[in-house]
Amino acid sequence: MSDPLPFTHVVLVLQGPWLGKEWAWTSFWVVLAFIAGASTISVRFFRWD
Amino acid sequence: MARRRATDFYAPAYVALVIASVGLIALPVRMAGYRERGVLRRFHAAGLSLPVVIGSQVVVAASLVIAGSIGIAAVARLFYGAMLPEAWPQVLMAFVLGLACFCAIGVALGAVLPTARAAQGAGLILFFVMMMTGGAGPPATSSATSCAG
Repeated sequence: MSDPLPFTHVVLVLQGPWLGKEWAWTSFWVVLAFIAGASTISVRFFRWD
Repeated sequence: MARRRATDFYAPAYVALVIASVGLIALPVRMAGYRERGVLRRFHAAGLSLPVVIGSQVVVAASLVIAGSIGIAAVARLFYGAMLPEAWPQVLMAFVLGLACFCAIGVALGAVLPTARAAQGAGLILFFVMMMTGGAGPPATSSATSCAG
């Protein structure tokens, strides 16, 4: 259930180098996709009033 | 590799929790509140561009997150003996990535939700669902059978 949510992937990306493990590349790309998607929504739907 | 304790795993997860709480709750509530009270309209009338408005909100959010994360790491180390990051440059990169992710989501929520109360409701729901399912909540083995999945 938690895999589609960004928090899990941010945790995995942080835990990797913090604990001396490998960089979580899959989670890295998922987080980047969330950044791109959310930024697109912000620019497209932002209203001043 | 040395044996890791639970606190070693929780320390970075709680740093992510600080990022998520500011990004999902504080940021959208402030932006939607600005719209509700006509502050964004006045910013627009004053000639401020969208990147400047969003950028200023992200800078404030980042300041809060940095202060909170340093506090989390210090308390985890001093009082619980948790390990400090092994690879600082990569941890900083992951930190910036996580911050960018939740700030982007927070700004998106603030952009589409009409009022501060709506933004608070949506942000809190997202925050608690993510907290309980994303590695910062209690371990599944310590949960009741009905919650352990």
